[in-house]
Amino acid sequence: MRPRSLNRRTKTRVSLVSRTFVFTIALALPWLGPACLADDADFQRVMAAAVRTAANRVLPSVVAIEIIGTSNTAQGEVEQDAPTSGVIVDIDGHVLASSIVVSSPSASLLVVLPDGTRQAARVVARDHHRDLVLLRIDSTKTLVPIDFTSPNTRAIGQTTIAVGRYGSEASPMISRGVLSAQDRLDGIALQSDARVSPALYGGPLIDLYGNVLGLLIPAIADGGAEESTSWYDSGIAFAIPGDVILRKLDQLKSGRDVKKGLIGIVAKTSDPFQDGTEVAAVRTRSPAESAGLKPGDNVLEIDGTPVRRHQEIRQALGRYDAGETIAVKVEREGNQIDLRITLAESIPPLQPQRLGVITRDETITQGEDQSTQVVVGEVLPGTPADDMLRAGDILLKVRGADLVDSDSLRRLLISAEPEQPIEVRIRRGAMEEVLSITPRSVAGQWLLNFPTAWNADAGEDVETWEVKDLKLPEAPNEAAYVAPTAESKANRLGLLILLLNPGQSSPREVLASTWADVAAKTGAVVCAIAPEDSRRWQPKEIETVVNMTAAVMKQAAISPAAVAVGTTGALAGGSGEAADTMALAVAVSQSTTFFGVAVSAMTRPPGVRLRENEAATSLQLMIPIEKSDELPAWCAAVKSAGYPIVRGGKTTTESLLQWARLLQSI
Amino acid sequence: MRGSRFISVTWLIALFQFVALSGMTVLSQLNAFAQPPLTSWARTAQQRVVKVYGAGGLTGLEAYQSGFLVSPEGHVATAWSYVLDVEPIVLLDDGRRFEAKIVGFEPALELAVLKIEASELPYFPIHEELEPQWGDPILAVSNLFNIATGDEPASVMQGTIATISNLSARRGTFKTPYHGAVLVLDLIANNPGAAGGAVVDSSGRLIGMLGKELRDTATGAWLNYAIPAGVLRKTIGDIIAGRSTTLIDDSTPMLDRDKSHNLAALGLVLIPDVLEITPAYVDEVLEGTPAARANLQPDDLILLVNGKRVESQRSLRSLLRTVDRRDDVEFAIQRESQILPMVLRP
Repeated sequence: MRPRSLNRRTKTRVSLVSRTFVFTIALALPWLGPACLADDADFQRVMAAAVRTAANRVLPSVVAIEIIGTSNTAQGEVEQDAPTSGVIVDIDGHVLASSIVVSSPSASLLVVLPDGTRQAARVVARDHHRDLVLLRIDSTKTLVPIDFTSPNTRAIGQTTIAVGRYGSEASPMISRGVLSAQDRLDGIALQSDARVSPALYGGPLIDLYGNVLGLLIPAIADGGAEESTSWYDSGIAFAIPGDVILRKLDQLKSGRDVKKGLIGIVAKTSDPFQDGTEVAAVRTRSPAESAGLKPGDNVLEIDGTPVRRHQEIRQALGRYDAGETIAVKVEREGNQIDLRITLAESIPPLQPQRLGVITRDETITQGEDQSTQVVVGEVLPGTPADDMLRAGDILLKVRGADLVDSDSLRRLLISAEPEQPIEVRIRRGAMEEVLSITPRSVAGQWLLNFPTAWNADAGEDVETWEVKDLKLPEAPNEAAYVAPTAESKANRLGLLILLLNPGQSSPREVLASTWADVAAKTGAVVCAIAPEDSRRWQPKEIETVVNMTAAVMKQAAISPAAVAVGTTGALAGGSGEAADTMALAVAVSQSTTFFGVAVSAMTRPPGVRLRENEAATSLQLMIPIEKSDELPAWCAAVKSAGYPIVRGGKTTTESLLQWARLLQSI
Repeated sequence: MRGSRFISVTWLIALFQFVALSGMTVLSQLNAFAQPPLTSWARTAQQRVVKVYGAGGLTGLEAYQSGFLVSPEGHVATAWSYVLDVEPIVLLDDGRRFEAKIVGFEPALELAVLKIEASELPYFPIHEELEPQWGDPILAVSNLFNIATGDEPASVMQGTIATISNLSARRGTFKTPYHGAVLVLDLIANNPGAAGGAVVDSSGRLIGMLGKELRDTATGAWLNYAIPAGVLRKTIGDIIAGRSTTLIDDSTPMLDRDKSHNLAALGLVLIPDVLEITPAYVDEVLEGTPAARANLQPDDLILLVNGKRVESQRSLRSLLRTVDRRDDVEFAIQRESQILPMVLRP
């Protein structure tokens, strides 16, 4: 038993500790009261000071870029010679800016240094993949290069500050936002919600410590003919990451342009977001082919990054460019194989091929499993398939790859080599056979005819089709379409979206007078759309045309693969006018909706970026000429991008609609 | 110390501190010049911002904008615009409706001052020494999109000052007569009905008036800006006091042709002006002229005249028209890749 004195001492010590503790808490507690009436204004001031400190860390390297003497056509809203920003990258006078400064030729490019002096700049090289340009100035002043190497973490939601210089005095300009996302635009850019107006393009995007995250560029997502500056001040801004810029600087300094690297894989799945990285085909004379990639391979990793979908492959390739070699890991028949692929600037363009069949997809249920079979619906007379395939044949494998749907068959034919026999495995009745068919190029003279079954349908009482008005709530455009009535059993119809020239007569009149009867006879719905403004078509109307197309497709049994856009200029004797230019713009920017575009040979091509056909689209161009030497100069770009050009000869309304309906043939 | 007494002492100290600190906070809120919390300076600013209704203009534009009180007797500063083409109606924050008279305006500042018959109204004093900086936090209070009607208060938006710069001119056509310094805002403030709204700093002091829907003539993009309060201060004060406003015109007016410089007199022949924007390249320099004495040469590209950018030959001619024939003219030219300053003396 302890002595009483010891007990008392222990007790006292314990109670002293607890009392001190309570006392301290009691002192601290009241301060929480007013602190909870938090002073937002103080926070704002502290944040403002922090932003200024961070910006001042990079401002000595930030310059303004002025353009003198350029043509006055604006880039959408933004002027062609809008002043923007740039960054000094080394003491030798290299300045990195957004390629918007070289989007059109100018008499002079001036770099305005932080001290206000102006220096003439010359272009050294461009990064076409990331829309950057490297300039050089000769300056005797001491230049402060920006530091792209500063280590920084990238956390979504972290504070980001866009920094630039504005006005004739090149005053500092900032906008604060957060990091919204990474690897945008197929893996090339960071995204921020800072308000980036044109003056900030080419300036750095930094974090709250003044570390550089990237360089701001004007950019928008794919699929529009709009200008890259369309999304200024919209809460969505893009910046090329600093670490990627560092890797490209040496090449740019040596005067060599950087270009996007192509690999040459044709995906099995038409939806790049679907799971699966199987390769359906490998482009001929492509880096993938040279490295030994084979159809049927499943891509596992791109340079160490695991990929599960084709979109992830594209994103992983965003960091790499033509000339770079990457390690690719694939799985082939259960084995893992490592390949080294050197990306190329270009691959010989696609020359889509045709067998001459119209297929349909049928769903087969075997017990628990559901699968899709590709069945031949019709065979077109006079085509390679004519003697070889019959209606009812089930197509199992083409070029060694299993067919999952008609779309996969289409891609295999688009990426096939001209005049090379391909293996087609079919099931006819109870038997399986392997046939060797040599397809014919889609490009060339238009020679196709309807399958006999379709002609038989048309031969009977040609039912009267109705002309109806079409109005969309959001669009002021006048439109009308001629289509079968609701009771009609017609199917596998084609669709021609006819764009009218500004100032032409009303859509209803055009259809009633010229197209209604032919449409009913050939089984192709025709929808005529007039421009909103009676003087011209505008790029923003592309969306309207697409929406109207979707609306018309609901009105009749139209095959999605038989949708074309065209003009009256595509008929023999037509001239190239505003509607033709618009039709090309629509088709090129919406090539997943439109499988064909028919315009006059004298069309003035639109200023739209023509993307390389990557076997994802089937777009073909129809021009009413007879011989290949009559092809206009602008067709060369279309051909080298991989879109076949069909010569319609003396095109009539009937042959044009036949062509539209037969776009669904493979 | 005994337990119970210890506890009571501790609680007394705690209570004392709580009362003291709360008292300080309450006192500071009463003191208009101390730094109140955000919620209070926003509300204070709202009470001084009014809704202005007037004419819709020929093309059916919005017939509303914003304004703010600058005197307790009801002087309202607002943007000089088509809305004021008819005698405007002013709605206060508390919903009271007044017919207003235009008592003064200064188009060169995009400023108009209205007067309503009222008294003891809350108002913004315009301070003299406020020097806002880029990066400073601001609140913009306006009736954007006419979302506030009747006694609903104007809307408060938060942003920062992106930069402070002069509005750039382009080809001599000013879309706004004001071409002094503006506060460019990192905030989408450029909305219908926002013109004339108040921009206040983090202490609730007025630092600017929201500008009209305007495109930046240099870039072509919509501009979010405010005219600094310091620029408006004297004119507002003069109008309130009933004095005639004398604005120092620092613009550069065109002089008569026989009083100003021109290319021929300077001895310059430029390349043929055939494009819409022909760069100002020198084709020939005449002997014995100011240009020859300054050593200008063919193929020189004229970039700046007296510090102002030369975008085309047309703008070069207009700029020369603003310089007195007897004065020196400063050029900045580009020769190959060098930029050289030159002074042409008549």
